[in-house]
Amino acid sequence: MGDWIQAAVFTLFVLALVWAGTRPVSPSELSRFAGRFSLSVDTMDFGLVSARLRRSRKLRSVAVAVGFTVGALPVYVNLIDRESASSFSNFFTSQAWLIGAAFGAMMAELLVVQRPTRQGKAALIARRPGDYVATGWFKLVAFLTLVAVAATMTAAVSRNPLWGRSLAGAAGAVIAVALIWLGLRTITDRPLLALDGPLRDTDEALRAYGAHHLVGAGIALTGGATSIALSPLTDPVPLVEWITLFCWLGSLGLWRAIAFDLPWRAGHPMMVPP
Amino acid sequence: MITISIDNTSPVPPFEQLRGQVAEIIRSGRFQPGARLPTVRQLAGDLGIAPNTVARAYKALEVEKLVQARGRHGTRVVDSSDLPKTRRADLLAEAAKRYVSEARRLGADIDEALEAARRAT
Repeated sequence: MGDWIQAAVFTLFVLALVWAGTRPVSPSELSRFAGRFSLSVDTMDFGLVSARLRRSRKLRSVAVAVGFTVGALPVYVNLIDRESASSFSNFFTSQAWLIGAAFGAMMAELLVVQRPTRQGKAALIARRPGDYVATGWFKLVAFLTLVAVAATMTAAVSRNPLWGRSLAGAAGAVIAVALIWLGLRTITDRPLLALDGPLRDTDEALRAYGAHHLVGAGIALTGGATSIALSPLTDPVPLVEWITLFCWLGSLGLWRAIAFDLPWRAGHPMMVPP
Repeated sequence: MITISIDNTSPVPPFEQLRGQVAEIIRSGRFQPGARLPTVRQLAGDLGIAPNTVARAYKALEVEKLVQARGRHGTRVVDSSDLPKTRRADLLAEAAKRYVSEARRLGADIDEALEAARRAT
């Protein structure tokens, strides 16, 4: 009976997640978006922003829900076949919801089809990821990935019996780097909607919104993956246990802050009026 | 903000329009040496033309030694002071030829042309 209740709670949670992601964008969400990305509410294209925020949120929440379902596979399999349930409980399935979050944020950018409103005119300015999100976060992702890879190598060299766990963690970190790179490249290469005016500002703010969600989820995945990669080393060095916990909780906190709270003045410095 | 435009009704091919405008911008000094040009995909998307067209224009600019492709660091405007002396002399001679022919077309003699060049510095 307990197994059924557990499965029902997981299912309800997943359904609630999908429902929360697909609900319409509220006026307060729109004004928060405008404030966060320094947009004027009077000139903002509400239709465009509302449609893009909803679509992006839907894709992210569905991807997290799928990842969460993958992570909960042992619970569901347990209902039909107790013997094989444990084979679905590993460090890839436990990271699945974070992989889903980063994958969803990347897909939300990849699936945007945007054509410029003016034909045959462009600003000769290279757009860079740093125009849309602080570059310090990329350094943090690179550092955490290096720590995960170093932990795997240390575990392998010291013939740690749990070195496979480290390898799964390092793989998760590498997946995060690949998703962030692909998503940011999509954001910078996407055609500008307009060269100037409120439409350009809205377009730049939407790019910054996507970049913040992508990097936030990427940091959560990298942090989670790094803590998994470090976990086999906690036996010889007790301090690593605390570092692992700090890494895990810190990255989740950063995800929340970067994706939902941090303000950003979008746009290339050469295009922002003085 | 430096902008470029492609006229689809012009008999000049888009690749040549793009190459000519970017070359002119670089020669006029509006782009600092070492400045990064947009990626091929970004510029092609913004202009609504094929990426191959932009890539071809960038390649031609590279042959003219105006830009340099640096792999993942993108395409950058060449710093002329980094060029070998002989190559710089060749480029200067080519630019001088273009200037002299324009001066002749306007009916100016050599002294007038030199004076105009001095005043322009």
